[in-house]
Amino acid sequence: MRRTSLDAKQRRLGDVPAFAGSTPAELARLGQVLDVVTVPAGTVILRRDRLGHEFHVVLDGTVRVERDGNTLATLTRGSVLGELALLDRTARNADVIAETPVVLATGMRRDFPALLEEFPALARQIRDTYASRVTV
Amino acid sequence: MRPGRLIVVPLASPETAPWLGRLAGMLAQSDGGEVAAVSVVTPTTGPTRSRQAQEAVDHAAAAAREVGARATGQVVSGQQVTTAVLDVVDERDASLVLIGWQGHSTVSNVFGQLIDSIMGRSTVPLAVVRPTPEPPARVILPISDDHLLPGGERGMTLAAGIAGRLRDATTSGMVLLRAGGLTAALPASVAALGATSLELPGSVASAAAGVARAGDIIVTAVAPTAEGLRNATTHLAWATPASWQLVAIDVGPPAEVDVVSAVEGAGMVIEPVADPAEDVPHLVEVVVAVDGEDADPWKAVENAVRLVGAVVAHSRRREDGLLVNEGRVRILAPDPGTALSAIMLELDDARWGLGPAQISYRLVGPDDPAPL
Repeated sequence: MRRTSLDAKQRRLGDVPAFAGSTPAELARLGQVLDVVTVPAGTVILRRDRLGHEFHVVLDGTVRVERDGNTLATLTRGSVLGELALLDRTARNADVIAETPVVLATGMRRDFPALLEEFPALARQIRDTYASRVTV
Repeated sequence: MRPGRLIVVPLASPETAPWLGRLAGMLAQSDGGEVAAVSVVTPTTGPTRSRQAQEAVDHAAAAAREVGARATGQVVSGQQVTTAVLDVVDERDASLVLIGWQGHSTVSNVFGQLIDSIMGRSTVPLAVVRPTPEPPARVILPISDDHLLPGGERGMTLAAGIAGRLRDATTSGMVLLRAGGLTAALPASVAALGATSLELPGSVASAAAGVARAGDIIVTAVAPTAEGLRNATTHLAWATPASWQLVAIDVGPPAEVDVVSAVEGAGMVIEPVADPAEDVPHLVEVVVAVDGEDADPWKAVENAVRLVGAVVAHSRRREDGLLVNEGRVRILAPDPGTALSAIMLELDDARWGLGPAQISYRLVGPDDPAPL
């Protein structure tokens, strides 16, 4: 398994749009709360109707969002996964499957609210996603 | 738990039946209650298991009677064990289910499939007991700030009631264990016990480890947090292997949400109507890597992950001045995502002890031997 030092992790996080423009101190903070997770192609990363305890940012690879066998979206680097279940405190609303080997930066539920406050670009990205999926 | 009522004791094995029957008898006899030992046989139960079922209820009822309680033993037939047990609870208007536990969890179950299933569907409180061969001695009732959170009071009241009954049935006394520097006023149900109070730092599990002796009965409520659930169950079981452990769970409708919330927070799921096809656990392997410049953090990592899985291989090397540990963790889970979640939750708790070390995870695929 390739070692992921803090420096390397911070560089990868800095390349993600949601964290673009972050200062070294902010990237260090991200590095403390996000762990790198690598999964092989075909892995069900999130399963529909399961409860959510983590959120993920795609650092590398492609994932497919699927419900009842229908592909809803294909997401790549910079996409945030699993955040809506944390916001709503509900179960996952779709399956998310790795189409290729995928590298994720994964954080836990308890760190999520603070990250939204500290990283406005992340909050904006999630808000836009949320708005596009909520029917008023 | 209502006084003077019936305690149902579901039994799966004759070995633990005397211990559970004795404890249920101690709880029941203090106010003239009764113990109903129950074992379930299904259409697939063979003759050996049927004979053991009868032996189990006989042994449990006899043990309950030895400590002064009225007791019956009953083997019931049913298609499904959980349903048959809960039918007895309803028919006999039971006030408590006391059930034995082996003291460990899986990723998909807190206490095991049967207990979790009963916990998810029962309308009466549960006392989940990990027995030991030692005769019951002192009663220890831990309490922490988390037990005083909204949603925690009912469970604490149940635990205090059970602890008080056990104290009355023994001659060894009771210790009220204030864990983690609890400073708030005690709930009325706990203060009314008038127990000797002892303050110890740390979590409920670590504080209990500092005071518990062989045979002590540690009665815990599940605090409505993820840490509270693990502290009352697996962490406490690991920390106090020679003591009895009784986890008091108030699963009545008003409190059910709190218990479920705590279970969910721990990365586990109570599903009263589970889909067996989706919930069949299987082995998932995850490589956990830790690198750091300071002291070797692997022991702390291993201690944390073994609460949910087994470390089947480990290697250590120096790379670019960093000490790199890689461990291959095998874990029983319904799906890879749940497996990762469970490991990450445990390591999240342990992270404070790892200093600046970096953790990463790799899920092992079917075509990937992940050599170490």
